[in-house]
Amino acid sequence: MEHNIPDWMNLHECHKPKRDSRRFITATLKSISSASSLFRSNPKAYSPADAPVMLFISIALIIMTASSKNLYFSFVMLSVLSVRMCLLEGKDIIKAFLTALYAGIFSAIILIPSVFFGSPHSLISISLKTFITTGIIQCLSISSRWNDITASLKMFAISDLIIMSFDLTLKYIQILCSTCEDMLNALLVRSIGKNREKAASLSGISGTAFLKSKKMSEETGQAMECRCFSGHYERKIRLRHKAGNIISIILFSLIAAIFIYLEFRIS
Amino acid sequence: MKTAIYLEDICHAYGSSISLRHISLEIKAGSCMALKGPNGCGKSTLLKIINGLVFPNKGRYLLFGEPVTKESMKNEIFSKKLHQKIGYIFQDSNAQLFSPSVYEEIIFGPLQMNISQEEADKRAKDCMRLLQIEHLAERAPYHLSGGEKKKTSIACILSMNPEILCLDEPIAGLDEESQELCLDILKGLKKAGKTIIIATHNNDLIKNIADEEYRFYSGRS
Repeated sequence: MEHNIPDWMNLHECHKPKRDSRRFITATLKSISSASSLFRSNPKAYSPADAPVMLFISIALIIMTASSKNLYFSFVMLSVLSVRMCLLEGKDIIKAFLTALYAGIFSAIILIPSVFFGSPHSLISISLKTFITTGIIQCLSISSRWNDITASLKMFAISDLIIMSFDLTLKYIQILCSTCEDMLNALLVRSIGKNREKAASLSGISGTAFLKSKKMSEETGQAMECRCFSGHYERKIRLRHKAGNIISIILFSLIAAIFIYLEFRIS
Repeated sequence: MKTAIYLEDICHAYGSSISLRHISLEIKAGSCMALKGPNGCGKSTLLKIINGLVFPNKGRYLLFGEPVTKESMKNEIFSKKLHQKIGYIFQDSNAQLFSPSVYEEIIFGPLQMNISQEEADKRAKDCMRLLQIEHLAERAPYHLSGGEKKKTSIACILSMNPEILCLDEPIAGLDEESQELCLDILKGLKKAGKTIIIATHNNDLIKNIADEEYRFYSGRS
């Protein structure tokens, strides 16, 4: 079988590209990569204790911080958070600190009117609490693997089906992010001149990603049926850092004692 | 024959996982190089480096004597010229197709070149005829079969008439007849002086078309 290629393919292409910003592609690529990295399994997770212990301590600390009426306790938590952040790697300290700082600043901006309504104290205490609680969540997500965290939810009597939904969601967020990255790269390598329909190109990508997610969810459902799925999904909680767990629980007990003392003795 | 692609001591890692170690190779213009190796050995990463989508941690990459670096790719004109010169066919065709119809997908590239609408239309139709997908012109790429998607993705790259073709598993998922068709087209392109780089496991394809073979052993040549 002979397939003659068209004449123009034999000619040397002398393409002189026109200037046209590709920022819409590069900016989207960057934001998708950062979203994807948030959920990517963290191979260097370096939590001092196991995920169930860290999750329990983090939730308890957030509840204590939020419910505390004493500003001294917020300062105690601020110093605890500073020490915890110092145990992270340099790049992660910046990431955790900046995220917490932005959340704190955002809540301060929202609370500015409270100053004029005679409650300037709220501006400081709520912004501080927002900074602390966001910082605690950041430390947990940076130092623990997401899959370990979802498995730890079992400890809080959360049903297997909900844990499975979390696990599948995490998995598909990563898959869809990587698909979108590939499609944006494909768009980038073919954007060799002036693209007059930038919005149409991006909507094509989001449409394809949506169709892919629909197809993947159907296929996962079918695969589960084929494997006789009966609603039973077991994730085992494994404890590895025995010393780390004990030290973390002792430190947490100390903070809890400070909380009880400050809340019920002084105020 | 002048050198189209020159790679010297290329090393690359994704975080802590090393994907390429000390890869050096020279590809002459008009020749066909086959990249062969087990899954996950770094063939696709090397193709992405050649296309300026990923940058090596160490080493030098020259395209027709011009260095390709992260800095040079920031230059809009340079990167657009590079992407016109090198046509990249992704391993996963799903990732390459984003337009609402096959015709629009194929004409996307030519419409951005300084050619008339008629010429762009002719190119799109020629590519569809060449790949025997004229009947799919109005279909949505996402709903095509795997083989049809592959042919569409090849057509949309050929319509830009690149000097170098990077094909990542070009005949994977194609039936025998389509494999023969693709092989025939690749031979025609080689005859037309195109430089072809193929990442494949297929020994028949390598035997039939490749001038040189480059073997990977888990991230190492």
